[in-house]
Amino acid sequence: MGDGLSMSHRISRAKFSRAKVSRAVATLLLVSVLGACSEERDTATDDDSAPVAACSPEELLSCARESSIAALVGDEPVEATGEPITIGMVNQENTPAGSYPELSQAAQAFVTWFNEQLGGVDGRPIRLEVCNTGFSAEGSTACGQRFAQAGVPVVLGGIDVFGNATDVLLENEIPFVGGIPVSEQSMRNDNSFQWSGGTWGATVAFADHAAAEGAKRVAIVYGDFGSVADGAAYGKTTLEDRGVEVTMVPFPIVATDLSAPMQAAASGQPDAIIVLAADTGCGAAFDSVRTLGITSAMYYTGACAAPPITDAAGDAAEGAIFNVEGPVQPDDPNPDTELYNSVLGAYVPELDPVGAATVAARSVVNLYSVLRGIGADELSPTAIADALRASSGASSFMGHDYTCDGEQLSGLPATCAPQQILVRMESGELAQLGDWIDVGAVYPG
Amino acid sequence: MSVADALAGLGGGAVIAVLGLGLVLSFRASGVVNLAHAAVGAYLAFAYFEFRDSGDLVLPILGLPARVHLLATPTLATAVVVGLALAVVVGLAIHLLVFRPLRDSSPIARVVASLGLFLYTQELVRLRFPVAGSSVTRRLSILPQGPVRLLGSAVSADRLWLAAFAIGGAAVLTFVYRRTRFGLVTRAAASSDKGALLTGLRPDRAAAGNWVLSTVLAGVAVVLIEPISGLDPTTTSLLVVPALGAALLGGLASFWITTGAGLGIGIAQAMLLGYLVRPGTTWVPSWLPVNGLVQAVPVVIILVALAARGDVVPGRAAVPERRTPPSPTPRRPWVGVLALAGFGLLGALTFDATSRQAMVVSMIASMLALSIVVVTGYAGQMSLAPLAVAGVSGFTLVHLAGVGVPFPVDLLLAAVLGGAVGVAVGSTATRVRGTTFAVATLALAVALEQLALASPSLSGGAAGSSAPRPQLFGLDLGSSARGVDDVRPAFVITVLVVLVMCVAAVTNLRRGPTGLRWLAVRANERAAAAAGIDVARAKLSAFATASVLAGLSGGLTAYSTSTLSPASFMVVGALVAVALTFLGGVSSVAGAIIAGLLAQSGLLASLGRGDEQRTYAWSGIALIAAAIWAPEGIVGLARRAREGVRRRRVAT
Repeated sequence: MGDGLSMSHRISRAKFSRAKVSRAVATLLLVSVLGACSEERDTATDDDSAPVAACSPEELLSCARESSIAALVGDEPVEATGEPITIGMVNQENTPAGSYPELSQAAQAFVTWFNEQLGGVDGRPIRLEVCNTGFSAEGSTACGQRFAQAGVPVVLGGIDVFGNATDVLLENEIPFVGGIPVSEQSMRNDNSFQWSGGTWGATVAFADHAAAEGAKRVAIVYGDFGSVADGAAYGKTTLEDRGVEVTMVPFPIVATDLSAPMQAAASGQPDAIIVLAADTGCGAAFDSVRTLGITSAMYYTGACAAPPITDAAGDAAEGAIFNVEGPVQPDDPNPDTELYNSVLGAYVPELDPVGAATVAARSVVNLYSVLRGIGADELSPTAIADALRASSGASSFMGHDYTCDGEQLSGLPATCAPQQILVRMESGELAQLGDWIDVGAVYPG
Repeated sequence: MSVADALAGLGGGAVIAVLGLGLVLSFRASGVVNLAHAAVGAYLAFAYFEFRDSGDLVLPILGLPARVHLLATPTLATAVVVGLALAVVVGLAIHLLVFRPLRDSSPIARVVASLGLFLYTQELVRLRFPVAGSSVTRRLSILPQGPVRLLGSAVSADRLWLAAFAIGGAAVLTFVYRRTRFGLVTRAAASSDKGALLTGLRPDRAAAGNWVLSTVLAGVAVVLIEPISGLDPTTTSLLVVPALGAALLGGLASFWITTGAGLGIGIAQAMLLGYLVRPGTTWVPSWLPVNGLVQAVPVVIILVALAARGDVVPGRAAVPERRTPPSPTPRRPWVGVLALAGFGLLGALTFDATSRQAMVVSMIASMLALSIVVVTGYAGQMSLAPLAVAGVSGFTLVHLAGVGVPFPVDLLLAAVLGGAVGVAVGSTATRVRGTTFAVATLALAVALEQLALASPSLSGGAAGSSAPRPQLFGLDLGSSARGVDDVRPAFVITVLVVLVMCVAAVTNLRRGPTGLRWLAVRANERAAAAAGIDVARAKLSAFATASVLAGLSGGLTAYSTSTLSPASFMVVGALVAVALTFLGGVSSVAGAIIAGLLAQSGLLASLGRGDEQRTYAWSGIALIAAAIWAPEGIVGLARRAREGVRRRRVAT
């Protein structure tokens, strides 16, 4: 396969901040979250230190005036004091199967900032009520029903592997927005609105690139679980539509020794191998590439590009291609990312800003923009859903502009911004391969 | 299938083998199949790496300070010494505090205690090492890395070293057990504790020594396999399941066979995967998940071994199975049934939606617990498959209702199918009992989960599938509706009616000849057979009854939730269900009701505001305590308290 590098922004691998979101069941999360993690590379100074807040707590407004939400920022801080507007959030916390409090903490930090300095929504503070699914379908259902009963106008996503809450909210016509789309319901329900392409977007982007590079045989090695398997199927469809022969190689989602699936994939001597694994499986995949002497073009989800993993992989990571959901701009710090670091530094300094928290921030800020656009008096589930459906090329905080017309990626009506960027490891540095890939346009389904 | 495919499975096989060796050791120590083996190893490995990095010793007791700073500049040598010392202390503590008090208890009590230890340790790791699971934390690999050519194919050096470690470990352990006095004492005690004691041996010391060895091996094994299997509280802890397959094949006694079986399972899985994904392999039906077939390999091996060898777990003849939880005949059974119906009706009509949802969860969990009461509490067989059976029934109901079979016919048919699956599971394992039966049903549960529940064609895959709303004579009995009417009282009452009928049926069975036959089998199979009871038939009737109950719980779960997901029926959930039932009282109907109340997202959880951070840890401690001091559970404690009061009254 050739180079295909049309626009090359080289960045130091040392500046690529690390993801800290790996737990066993969270493969799904990692597949979709990496894009957000990658945005942190702009500000991270080295592998082990957290990004430095660009603005002090007193300077947050001026920092925000440089960001994509400048239109919402007044001249002076305005504190919201009216009757609170309660919005829900569904998340998975304090369970042996994984705990992601960083999502709710990041969302709460922004909500506090909105209330203290941006005047909430027309002077009314936002109250964020978090419901923990406890990693069970029943818990997820209970969360949905709790918010339906409370009559909240909108529910923010966190991580909910089961997705039952989304069903209940759909039934009650309450929009479910943002978070990390780890359940199929969150991508398939037409009252859900997502600002990430998840596994689906990543795999279609990989498939498109591999086919464009002339691959005739491709193997997809994927964790056999929910949205990862479904995302792998999207990649298969894309490849087969281009006349590419595809071998599907599943492995248990919690597996960390990928020797057998990688051997099974490599035995067909494919031109390219797409690996959909959590960061817990990345190192094993790189090991197999080295041990088995695999020479196929390798595609990995962005979680695998974390420096500790690629450093350990050494030469095995050379030439590997990863997906991200934000442009690489090493010499031009992203104002949104600077604001993000600053808000977290001001309100939850103990929280590591790298990882899943970025997705929560993107979600809550985008939702806040919508709420402000509607106004406190007109706020209702229908008004929020209508406003989102009417969006076209709307600005997204730390992400690609979004359009929630239900047609951004076939079969996934909730997707508002599935676009992806690919980067390649070259001589120990990550180089961006071209511009955004509009996966909705290249997916044949 | 090629040499390269086989070598690719060497690493996975070596992981299974080294953990299997530890399981054999702990069984030799106390006759316990230690489900917490890998979880304890995970704690020790985390503690070792933490000390290596920071010089801090992380303490394993929640409530005490989390860590003690021992050294400013730890070295590899000091880390190894501290790690080994910690493993010795932990091994002794496990022996003295958990399993020594249980040496006269039933196998079920010991399995429950190991389950408690599993929950506690897993939670300990999660709380003590908050970044646990982050594989991006690079650790210094102990084994050499890099590719090695073998038989014309490449394999990573660390896989070969680990396989060599497993084989070397088997050789050393075999030598120790055959040629040393320590081994002699252990083998004597395994055959007969009392006999060993009478001949002047000290079986208790040998047991302590075995626990220390087993725990050290667990820690060393997890440190060594970390580069291959990673280190994570959940995944590492569950590595015990395939390791059990290897250990069972070794009869929980042979180190050589266990090692060979472990390596063989890994290699067989890799070769099968290589074969299944090959383009020329077209005979496998599309509804069978490839991954499920590969994961079913250890199950097939276990079942073949059981079929060939019968009860592969050697009996500890000197250990009488005392302290079987009493199961008194209910004197006024209808009082309890009516009270349940009355309270349930009151709750359905007065609770808010959140509490009604919790009530539904509790009632369905009680139904599942009832099935455990029947098969474990009454018939004395510890089955770990009830949740998988519930899953099969749940998805059957979805399919039946989807093609227009009306409620409640769909529910009954789904439950009957669950019963059939239960009988099949039971009959597969009629030749085994006690701990072996528990492990066999665990393996079967994994097979059902991987082959049936994970199949997108059968269950909708991880996305799950939805059941239509139940209706009866035009009445909508569906779970949820729009707005504040969610979890409608009509559905709550529907579930209540089914639960009350189940409770009445089980109570009636317990009071009748069937229940007496079950209890006779539980007390002593040979005596029961001598008394003219058809033991196999009695067991199968218990499996059938229990599986119908589990099937009903699965069917109602399908109706209670918007989307039924296979994740609701995972094996870990079955372990928790068994644990809660034991805690509530495994030998009485009331215990099942209490277990339902204790269930996650159940009624007590919705009412209480406990220390959520440590729920699982406390559950683990409660389980161990219950296994030691109150094997009859909360119900038994209440009964004892009531009898104490009565005795005092009589005395005065």
